[in-house]
Amino acid sequence: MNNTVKLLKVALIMAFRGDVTKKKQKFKKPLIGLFILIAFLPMVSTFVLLSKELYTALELIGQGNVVIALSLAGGSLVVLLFGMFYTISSYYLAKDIPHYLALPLKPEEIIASRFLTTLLYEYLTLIIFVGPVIIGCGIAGGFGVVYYLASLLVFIFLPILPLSISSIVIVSIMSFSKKAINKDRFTLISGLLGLGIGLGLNFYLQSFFVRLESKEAIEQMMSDGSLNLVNQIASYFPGIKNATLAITNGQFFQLLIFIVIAIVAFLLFMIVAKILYFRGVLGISQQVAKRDYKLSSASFKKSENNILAYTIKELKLIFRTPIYFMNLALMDYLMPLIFIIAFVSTGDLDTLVNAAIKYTSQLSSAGLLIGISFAFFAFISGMNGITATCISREGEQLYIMKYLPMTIDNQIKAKLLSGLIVSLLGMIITLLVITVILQINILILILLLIAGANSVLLTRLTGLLIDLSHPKLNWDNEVKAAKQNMNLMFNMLLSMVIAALAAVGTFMFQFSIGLSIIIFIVGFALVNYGLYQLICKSAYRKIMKIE
Amino acid sequence: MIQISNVTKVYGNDIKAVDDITLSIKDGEIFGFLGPNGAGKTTTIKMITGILPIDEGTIVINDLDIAKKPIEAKRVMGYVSDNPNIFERLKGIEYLNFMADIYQVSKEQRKTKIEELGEQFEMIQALDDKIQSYSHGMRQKIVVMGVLLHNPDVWILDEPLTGLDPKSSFVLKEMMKKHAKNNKTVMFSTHVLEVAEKVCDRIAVINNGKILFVGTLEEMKKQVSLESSLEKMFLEMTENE
Repeated sequence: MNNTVKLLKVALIMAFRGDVTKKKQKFKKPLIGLFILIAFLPMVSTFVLLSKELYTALELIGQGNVVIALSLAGGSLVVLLFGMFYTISSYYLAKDIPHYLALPLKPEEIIASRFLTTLLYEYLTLIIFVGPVIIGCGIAGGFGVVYYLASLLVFIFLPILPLSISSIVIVSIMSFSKKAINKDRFTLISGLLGLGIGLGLNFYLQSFFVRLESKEAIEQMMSDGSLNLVNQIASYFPGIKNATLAITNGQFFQLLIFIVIAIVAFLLFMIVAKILYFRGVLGISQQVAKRDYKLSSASFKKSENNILAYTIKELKLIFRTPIYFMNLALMDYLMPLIFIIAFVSTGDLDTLVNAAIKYTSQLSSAGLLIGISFAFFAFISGMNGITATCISREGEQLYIMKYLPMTIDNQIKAKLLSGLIVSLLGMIITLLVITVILQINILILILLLIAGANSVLLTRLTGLLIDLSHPKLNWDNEVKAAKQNMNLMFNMLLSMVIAALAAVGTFMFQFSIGLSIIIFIVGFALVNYGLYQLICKSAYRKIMKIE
Repeated sequence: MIQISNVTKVYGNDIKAVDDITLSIKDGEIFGFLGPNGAGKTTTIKMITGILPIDEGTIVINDLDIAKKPIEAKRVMGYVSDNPNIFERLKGIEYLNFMADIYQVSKEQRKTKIEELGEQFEMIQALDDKIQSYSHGMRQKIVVMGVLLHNPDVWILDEPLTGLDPKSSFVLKEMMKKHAKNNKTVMFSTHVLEVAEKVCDRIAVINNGKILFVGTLEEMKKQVSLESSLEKMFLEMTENE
């Protein structure tokens, strides 16, 4: 265990120290923390209020603790799914793993340190899911210190079981596929599977909460057993019921059972890891290779333009790196799908579509629609992190940008283009689908396309500017460059603010078509031009400054 | 040719990684850059290739100042880094085509060069596989192939022989000789003194950012007054520093 602590210490230093070559900036980290806190505050307070309302409503029929059970079960599920990603990259794909394999360390020592590091990331994820619910229900139920103390202990032990389960699954699969498995494909498939389950759950929860709208509906659900289904969800994860009882009733014995379950799960994983970890990880550096190529005239493809050649290179690297593809590129296509699910699960679809068509088929509502299109695509494309991580992803290979005989300007343009292509394609598909459903007037469609393209370009440029100013180059696995990159989150938040301002402005001031064109098409085209010029002028200096 | 004049590089506020060095590397010459770890070899090479800005002095490649005309200067250069882990998810052939596009190599020339270099390094069969499936040596070879596609006037290599098998090592040394024979400049850094002894026309020894010696091996022997191996001369020179 001593070695585990030492390994954990190294992993934490690697994860949180950052770039040691940079000068120490005393106030930077607390400032970033404060910024994140403020940014998440509206979302968290909404969650708190929602939980409070829901708890009060369900407590009328004595089912208030279902809210806590659901949140704990939901949180566990998120840990389970995210755990699949984190564990693959942390146990197998991290660049420092081969170094540990050469050291006289036991498999369980390596894996325990990795498990604990992953656990820390899971707490960060979990706090968003469980924290507001605990506070909301705590206020609604008027609970005391015991409630919060029990909640804290439950929170500490909650992710251990699901993370142990996903770790056992991953370690088992990896051990049986040590010979020439295509690791990239495996990561992609398991990731997409996770997203699929997540979307399914989202759909289920949406329709469940829609059904909770009236007291009669709740009584109906009580009588047909649907509410028991919620308890069933909780029972999928052993211990959730115990945890819920421990929190709401302050039963110490239930808390003890919950903690024992978590510890047993962890110990079980340690036994599995002891037997199977080395079997899988020792084959990890093996790659699928054919070694049977023959040169032909098709082998020598010439691109007439080096910006285009560079863009294609960027896109190939994004699409072939599963972590990049899923976290950076897929969001442009996934988010509209989530919106459609939310739309469909609201219930009376026909009425909604018919009501919307009244607006979308008339030129008089074009002003409103242009604003909505701008806001919607600013929000969606903000999720796409291609440009917000384009310099960070270079990592230790940044020097290549400096020695290629291509101006930094042009390389930056190619990076911008790669992000733009992915987002614009997603935008066009989404708008065409919406056009078919809502019978949008063709003239309006053209205006929506231009306004959408303008906001997509805006969020691509802000992302690029953020990453160019402060790239995260010191990373040892791709998850850190993409998913755990603050630049991606900053741009996402900025895009949300832009989207919110555009939406609020549009609805508050009821812009006419002319005014909407002036603001969202002409105005933001000028803003984009200014940002583009700023990036082009500062790119060389900023890149060369990085040593 | 490479003309380095009074070049200085300072890290932080006061650490001089390279301290007022002047070197002239001629056309048709293989020039070895020797020195212990942390002596300033890689920093110098990074300044020559435009990766690091120069704090003081000038570096001119074939009459092109790297600070003033970086793109033109880089176009006549080929640089092999000491880290061959690049674009790992591109296939070998995709990487070569990308480099050929960036260096504006015609379709005919890239065909001739890829066939020629692929045969020499025995890499053709692996060209359709992703670089991440390559061994360290194969990665070195694909990087070398990539920078030779445009037949650079100045070829710079940082520790090029690390990880290469004896045959590939031999092939690379022969390529360097052939390149120099065509009146082009080859400059490389190395720790392997025997390689410097066998391949280089001239060498420079650098330590603590300062050039201790520039010249042929014969001249070095005279200066150190030792009828001894290159290793002993090198140790004596860098330890006395």
